[in-house]
Amino acid sequence: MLEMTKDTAAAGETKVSLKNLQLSFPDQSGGVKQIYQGLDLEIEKGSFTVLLGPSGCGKSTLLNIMDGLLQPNSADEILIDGEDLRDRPDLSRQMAYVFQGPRLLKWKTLAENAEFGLRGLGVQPRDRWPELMERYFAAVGLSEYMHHYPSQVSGGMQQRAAIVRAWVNEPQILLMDEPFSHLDEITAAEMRRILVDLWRAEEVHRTVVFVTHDISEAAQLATDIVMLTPAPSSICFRRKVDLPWPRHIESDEVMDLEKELRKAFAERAGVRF
Amino acid sequence: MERFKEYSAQIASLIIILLGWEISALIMDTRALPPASESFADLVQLIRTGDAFGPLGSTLFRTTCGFALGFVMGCSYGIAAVLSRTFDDLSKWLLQIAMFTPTLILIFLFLVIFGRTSFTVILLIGLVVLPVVGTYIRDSLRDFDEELDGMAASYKAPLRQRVFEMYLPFLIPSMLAAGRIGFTLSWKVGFLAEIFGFSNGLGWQIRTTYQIYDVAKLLAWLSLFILTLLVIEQMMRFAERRVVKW
Amino acid sequence: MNWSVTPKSLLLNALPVAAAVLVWWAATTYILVQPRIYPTPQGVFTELVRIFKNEGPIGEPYTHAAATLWRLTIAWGGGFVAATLLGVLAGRKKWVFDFFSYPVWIAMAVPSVVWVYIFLVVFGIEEMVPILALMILLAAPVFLGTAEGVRSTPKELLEMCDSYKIGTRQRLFHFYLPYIAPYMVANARVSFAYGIRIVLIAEVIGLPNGVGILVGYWSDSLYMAPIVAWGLLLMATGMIVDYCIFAPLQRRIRREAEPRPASKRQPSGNSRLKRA
Ligand SMILES: Nc1ncnc2c1ncn2[C@@H]1O[C@H](COP(=O)(O)OP(=O)(O)OP(=O)(O)O)[C@@H](O)[C@H]1O
Ligand SMILES: [Mg+2]
Repeated sequence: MLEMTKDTAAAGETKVSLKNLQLSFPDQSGGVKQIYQGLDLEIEKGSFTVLLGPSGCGKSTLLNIMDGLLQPNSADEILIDGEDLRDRPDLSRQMAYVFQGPRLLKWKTLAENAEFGLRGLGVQPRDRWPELMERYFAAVGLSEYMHHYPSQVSGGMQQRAAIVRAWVNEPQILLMDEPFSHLDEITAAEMRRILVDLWRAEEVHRTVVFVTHDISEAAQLATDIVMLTPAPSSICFRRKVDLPWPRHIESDEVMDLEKELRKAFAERAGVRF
Repeated sequence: MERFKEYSAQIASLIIILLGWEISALIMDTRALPPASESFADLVQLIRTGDAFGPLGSTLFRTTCGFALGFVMGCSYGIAAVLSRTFDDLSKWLLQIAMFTPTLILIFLFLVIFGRTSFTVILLIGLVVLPVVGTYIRDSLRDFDEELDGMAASYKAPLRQRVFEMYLPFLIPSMLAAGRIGFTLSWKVGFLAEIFGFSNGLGWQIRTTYQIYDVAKLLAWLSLFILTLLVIEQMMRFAERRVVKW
Repeated sequence: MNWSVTPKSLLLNALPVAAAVLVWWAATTYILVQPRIYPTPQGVFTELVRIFKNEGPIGEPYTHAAATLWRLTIAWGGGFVAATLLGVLAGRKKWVFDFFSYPVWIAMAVPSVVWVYIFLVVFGIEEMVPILALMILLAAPVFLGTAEGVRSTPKELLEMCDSYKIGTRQRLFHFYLPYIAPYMVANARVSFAYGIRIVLIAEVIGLPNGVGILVGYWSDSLYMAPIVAWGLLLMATGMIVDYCIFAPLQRRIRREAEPRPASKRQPSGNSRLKRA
């Protein structure tokens, strides 16, 4: 119980705030496909927020907007720490993105890949790089493989390296887009454990925005769950989770949470199981 | 032993060619087909006396310069065509024309119009190599994974970093492959230009030996031509393996 | 290749070509006035008309052109068939591939004239000589391409054939052929384009007829306009055959060959040209 209060201690402050987001893409038939029609979303500082939604509802797109990679058609505000990202593009330097696939440069070793991100974002002083890389490669169990090329390690290891590439920047916001969805279940479970351990080990928790369409994954990780409807998407369900870690998949609490999420999905997002 | 087994079929074919040549030469016993041993004796003598190096050097020099010219232009073309749709459209027909023009016609035209100088041959080689290298580089650059662009944008990698750490390393294997293909082509075009009206180099030697019907010498020069190409190709393959470690 | 042709892109395609012709015209009319060596566009056009009217100094152009095309077709067809058969074998058996790898490499490395020289001294002046030289050069890339195609047939499907006891005939027509068809078309396309570029080289020396002889004759008499004219004609022939026969064929076969894994992309005519 003590642990639980520590993990949710930072609650209260808003880290990211999106208001009245509008976005559409042209579709093949020459029309437009509405992705967001006035979406509002607030993400708390230090929370582990899981965005849950069916495929194609615009979860990745939402992360891209937060990272400044994509401009919405319009938005009343895209605030990071109370400042608008569109006025201060450099705000996105506090964020690091873990993509759906590893997206490593195959001609660089895992360590060099991590360095690529460090050099690009430029938030960590250069003299700390070796120490940071050593620490985080060790944390994900890749110390021995730092100087291997991506082609020499397994898919799970590549994804771990991709997480290190993000984490070495010690970003205030960590954006993760279905990072484990194409891994096998055993590796994925291991990765989730590593991720939660890393996150909890910090004095002040980083804000994590984690996208998934896997309900059980959401139940295992989140302090905040946000559920999206199919496009044009809106938030149909949102709740906080106050369970301690490590969460066992078969524990009653987690099972109940999953059940609740499944029910909400069925009732509010019109998704059937 | 394993290695030997791996190459046994390749070695066997070479031996069969040489043996077939030697035996049929002995059976036919004409000036038209001297035995392999005689040609190789000639080759050894050419190398021993140093007579081989003059023609070899001048052909190699022209080929290398022409190749370098064509390679640089080809790479620039490939990159520009990917960066700009307009440039791609503008160059499309010109490139097709360059690709379909018979090499011999180009050789004749160039030698007469620009005169029989090394410079002409270099220019000619450059022009023939350009479309081949250019399309190769263009097509492989089009295969670049857009997701990596997204990754670089997300990590705010500046243009310099993207060019030197992403696009260039991505291109290196294709550049090496295109270089190998381009060099073989240059070597042949330079040689042809010599055969059709250039008074030094390997091609000219072969033409002369043909005209005085010294077939053994002809084959000796030809072997020199082939051996040089083989050595250069192997060197390039070796470089490919050394550079592309991933 | 991008087949979406819009008026704008067509204009952009044609613009530099038109500009080049204009520059050519201006340069030969005003600066390098020496029509024998620097032919004008009009001069070349006149030569084209003469060729079409079947007028020429050393025999009828039509006869020469026919001889060249005939040689090209025979050499290309023969080389293609032989190399495809050998290529299939080489794709199945590694030692066959290894055995032929040096000879094929040598065949490609030796320029066509040298083949002609060699055959001329061995066989004497014969109609066969340039055909043989061409055949060797054209067969080499086809061999490599076919072997690659056969090797790309997925092993699992072969095992499937084994498990369903599929017969040889059926295997050939319903399994191997569809798999290597795209490679065969790409090979045919590349080797034809290559052949039309080098057929002249094989002809220039020691034969009584063919476009190569004509071009050699004009080159010796330092008269460039007919050379350019023949160059344009051959280029046009190559392009027409490529666009009207091979490109549509390749597109059709590619469509039929789908679905295939996206990563295993079919070779395209152009990308294979590089290897020739
Ligand atoms: N650049 C684009 N152009 C056109 N349409 C796009 C583009 N990017 C995304 N879309 C469309 O926007 C919608 C949302 O895409 P997004 O990738 O955000 O979905 P997602 O929720 O991440 O799905 P998944 O779970 O499958 O990853 C999809 O229907 C997609 O087709
Ligand atoms: Mg997504």
